Amino acid sequence: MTQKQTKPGAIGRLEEVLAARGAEPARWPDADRTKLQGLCASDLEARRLLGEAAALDRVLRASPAGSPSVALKQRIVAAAVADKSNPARVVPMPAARRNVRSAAPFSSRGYWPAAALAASFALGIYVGAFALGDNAVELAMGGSTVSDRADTLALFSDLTGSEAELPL
Amino acid sequence: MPLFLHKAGRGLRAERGGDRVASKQEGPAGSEDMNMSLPAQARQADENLMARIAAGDATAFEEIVGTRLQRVLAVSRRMLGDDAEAEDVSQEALLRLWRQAGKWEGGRALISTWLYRVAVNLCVDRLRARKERATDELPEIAAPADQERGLQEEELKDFVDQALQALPERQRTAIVLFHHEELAMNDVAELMETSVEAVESLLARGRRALKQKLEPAWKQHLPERQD
Repeated sequence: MTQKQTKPGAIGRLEEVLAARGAEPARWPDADRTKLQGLCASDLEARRLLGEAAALDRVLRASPAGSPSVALKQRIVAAAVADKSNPARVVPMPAARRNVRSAAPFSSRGYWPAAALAASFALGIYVGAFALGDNAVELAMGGSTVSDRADTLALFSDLTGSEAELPL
Repeated sequence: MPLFLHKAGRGLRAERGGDRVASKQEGPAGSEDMNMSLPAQARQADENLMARIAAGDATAFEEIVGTRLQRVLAVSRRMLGDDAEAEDVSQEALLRLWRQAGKWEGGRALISTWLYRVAVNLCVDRLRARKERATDELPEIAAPADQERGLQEEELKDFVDQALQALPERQRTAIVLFHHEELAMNDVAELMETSVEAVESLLARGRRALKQKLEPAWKQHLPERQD
């Protein structure tokens, strides 16, 4: 095979590659890249073809698609949150609101019945202690330690607002 | 429902500079000959995001909208040539992701791959619906009147958009995915459910048509020695 016969074949392959993939060698097939780059470096016709492909590439890229607007992003997120098709859909609660209960447990109306129940329980122990004497206190506290009794007293004081002491 | 919504996907890579195109920031990749398996890190990140969405976490969805919408919108705009329709398609693609998060199979596709597929399919559906409505031939593309002064940026953009819209749907899809989105040839073939050879053929025909239509524009970009 002579040089003259080989060259048109290589040019033909370059034309095919440029037509499909454009002028950037990085996007050419690995198997052709080195050979075709060599051809472009040494052959005027190959350089002309490469120049035309590069010019077309530049024109195609001169059409930027632009960025999405903030309004579009917000619209899509809002549509998703409102969409009931996600079975586990949870509308997120703002963080500030989420923390309210843990920071101030009695600020919510729902906790007051539980607080009233605890207060009445403590009051029952206190009354029972006066009525039944020291043994009853021991019984009520289930043989608890002094620190347990102090905790119970503190709880009672907290709930009733009184400074009364449990008889020991 | 387009069939390839159900098919497995792979990570999308660009050959240019070895960048992943799936999100254009998901880490390095190699040439076409390299293993196409997904980088575990990107796959895991996507799985985590989808698990959060499946649990109804709107902030995870917001994150995806923030990082993926631009590419979805770009493809849709170029495919449809209409900003409002492209926005509708982008919204629909992302909402489908939200709705189907519970069925997400992390090992099968990246979020970006999935979104490309859905967006392209939605665009194709719209283009076909348009074709059914249309009774006339596509209008001839007029080159800007005063070519002597050169094409201004906005004129050039319109000129290119019109030429792109005049291409047959499959050629346009191949051009948009390969030349604009810079996806690897294998990935374009997979997204279009065809062979690499078929994509090369579509690209060659598409580029030849564009070269002819856009001649006044690209001739201005020739190297000086060829003028």
